[in-house]
Amino acid sequence: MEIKLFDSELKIMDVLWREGDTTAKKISDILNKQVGWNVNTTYTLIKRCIAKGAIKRSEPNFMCHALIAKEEVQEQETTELINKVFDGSADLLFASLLSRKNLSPEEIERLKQIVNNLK
Amino acid sequence: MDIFQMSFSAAFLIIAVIIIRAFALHRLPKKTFLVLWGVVICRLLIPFSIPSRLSFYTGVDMLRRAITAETAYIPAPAVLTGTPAMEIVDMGKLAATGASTISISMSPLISIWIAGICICTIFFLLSYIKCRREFQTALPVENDFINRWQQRHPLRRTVQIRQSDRIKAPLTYGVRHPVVLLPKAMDWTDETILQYILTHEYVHIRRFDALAKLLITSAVCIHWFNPLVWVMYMLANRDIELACDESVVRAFGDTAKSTYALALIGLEEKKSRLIPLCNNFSKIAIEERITSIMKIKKYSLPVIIVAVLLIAGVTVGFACSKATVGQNSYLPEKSEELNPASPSPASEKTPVNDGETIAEPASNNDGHSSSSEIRKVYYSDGQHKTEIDGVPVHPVHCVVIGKYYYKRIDRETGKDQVSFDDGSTWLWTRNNPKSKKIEVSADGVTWEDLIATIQEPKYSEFCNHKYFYMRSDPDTGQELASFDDGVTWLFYRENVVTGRAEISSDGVKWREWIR
Repeated sequence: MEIKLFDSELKIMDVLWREGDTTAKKISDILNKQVGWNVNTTYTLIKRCIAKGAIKRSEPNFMCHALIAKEEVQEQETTELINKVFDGSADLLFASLLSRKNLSPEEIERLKQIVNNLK
Repeated sequence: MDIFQMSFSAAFLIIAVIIIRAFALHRLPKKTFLVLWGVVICRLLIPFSIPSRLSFYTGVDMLRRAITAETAYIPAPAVLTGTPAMEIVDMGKLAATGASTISISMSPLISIWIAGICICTIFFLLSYIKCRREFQTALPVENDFINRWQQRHPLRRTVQIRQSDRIKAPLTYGVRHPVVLLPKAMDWTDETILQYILTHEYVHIRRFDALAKLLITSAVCIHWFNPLVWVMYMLANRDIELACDESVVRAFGDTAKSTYALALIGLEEKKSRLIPLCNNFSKIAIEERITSIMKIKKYSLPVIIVAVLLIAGVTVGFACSKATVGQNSYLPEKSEELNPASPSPASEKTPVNDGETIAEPASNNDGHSSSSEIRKVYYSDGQHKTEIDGVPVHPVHCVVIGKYYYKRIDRETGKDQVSFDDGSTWLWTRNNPKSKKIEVSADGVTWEDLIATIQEPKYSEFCNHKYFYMRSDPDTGQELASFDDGVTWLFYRENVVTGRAEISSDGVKWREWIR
C-alpha cells in the first residue's frame, strides 16, 4: 500500500523509528525541542498519520506505533524520485548524483562501487 | 453616519483611486497608492469624517440644491432668490438627502448586512485558521547562507525562517511573531535569489503588511455588499506587493531588476502548474507586477510633489464629507429672508446670506467655527415625529411657506406620500416633469400644486417656528445662545447622550431646553 507522507508527517515517523513506540506526549516534547512545534501541531500531525494508516494508536496514554518501516518510505520516495525526475531510469539518478560537486571523493568511490556491483 | 452612507461615499473615493492608479501606476512611487488605499480604509472603517468646503460632496450638494431650486420652484416668490427652495431636514438622524431614501426602510437591511458580515468573517477566519494550522507544521531551515543573512539583518521582532513542502511560493505570516516560510522545492543554492526573497519578505515584515491586509479584509467583511470594496481588496493587495518589490529593487539597485523579475516568474511557474484554477486573475496580477518591476526608476522631486498633492487632493476632495447645514443637529435652519416679519437686530450685524448659511454648520458640532459671528437659528418645537404608525417619516421643511409637512414611502405601493397634519391623512405626491412643480393628490387621479394646497387654511399650523441667536465665544469657543435678540446670552450645548439641546446660565448647571 502506498502512503504519501509530507515532510512534517515524516518528522513524526522519524521519532517513532528512532525511539520505538512512544506516547503522543513524548513525541510532542521531543519535537518541541527539535523543531519548535507546539502540542497542537504535533497532535494534528499524529492524527493525520493515523488517518493515513502510518501510525496505530493504542491506550493507555495515546501510545503510537509505526505501521510502516523507514526503509519502505525510503524506497517509495526513491522510486518516486526516479519516476518523476529521471524518467524511470536509476542510471540517470546515479549520473546526477555523481556529477554533484558537493559529494566527497569517498562518497563518489562508494557509489561507483555500488554501480559496479550491480552490473 | 450610517454604514450605507459610509460605503456610498467610500465608493467615490475608490473610483477616484482606481482612475489615478490606471493612469499613473508606473509613474508614481508605489507608496502613493498604499497611502491612498489607507485613506479609503479610514473612510470605510471610521464612522465620522471631517467636513470640508473643498469636498467633492460639497460641490455635488451645491449643484443639487441649485438644480432643485431651479426646477422645482420656478413660481417661487422673489424672496427665494438663491435659496434652496425645499430643505429636507431629517430630525432624528443626520441624513444626506442622497441617502435619505435608503435609510427609510433600513431595519431588514441591517439584519441582512449583519448576517453578511458574519458569513464573510467566518469564511476569512476559517481559511486563515486552516492555512495557519498548515504553516505551523513547517520545519526549521538549516542553511548557512540563510543563517548568516539573518544575523546581518536583525529586526526588533524575532523572525523565524522555516521551510515547508506544502507551499509553492515564499510567504510570511504573523504580525507579532512573524515567520518567513520558504517552499522546500526551491533552489537553495542560488544565493542571489534567496537574498531577494528574504529581502522581499523582510520588507513585508518591517512594514506590518500583515496588519494592513487584516484591515483591508475587515473592511471587506463590513462592506461586503459594496462591489467596489472588493475591487479595492484585490487592487490594494496587489499594490502592497508592488510597493514591496519597489523597495527590494531600490535596495539592490537597477541591475537587480531583471534577475528579480525572472525569479518571480520562476516561482509563479511552479505555483500555476499546481493551481490551474483562479489563474486568470493572477495572470493579470503577475504581468502587472513584472512590468512594474521593469519600469521602476528613480523618482524626481516633481513626481514626488505630484504624488503628495494627489494624496492631499483625493483626501480632501473625496474622504471629507460635505460641509453643510446642521449635519449633527436636530435644529433645522431657515434663511432669514423668509421671515421678514420677525425682528432681527442681532443678525443685522452679520447679515446671513442664503448661500452662506447652507455651507455653514448651524451648531458648533463639527468643531470648526470659532468666530463670534452671530447666527440666527430657527428651530421647530422639537415635537417632530420620525415615525408614524410604525412607518418612518421625514419632516420636510417647505421654505416657501415656512411650514413642515411629513413625508413617507407607502409600504404597499412604495410611492411617496405626504401629510400636512400629524400623520392622520396622507396624500400622494409626485414631481410633475412638465410644470416642474411638486403635486399632491388625495385619490391618485386629480393632482394639485403642492404649494397651493399647503397654503390652504385647513392645514393648520401644527408647527410653530421660532428663532434664536447663536454665536460662539471668541475666547472659550463655547456656544452661546440668546433668546431675546442678543441682550442676554446663555451657554448652549447639545447633550451627546440624549441628543437634546441644553442651556445653562453659569456653564455648570444644565437644563434641557424644551419649550
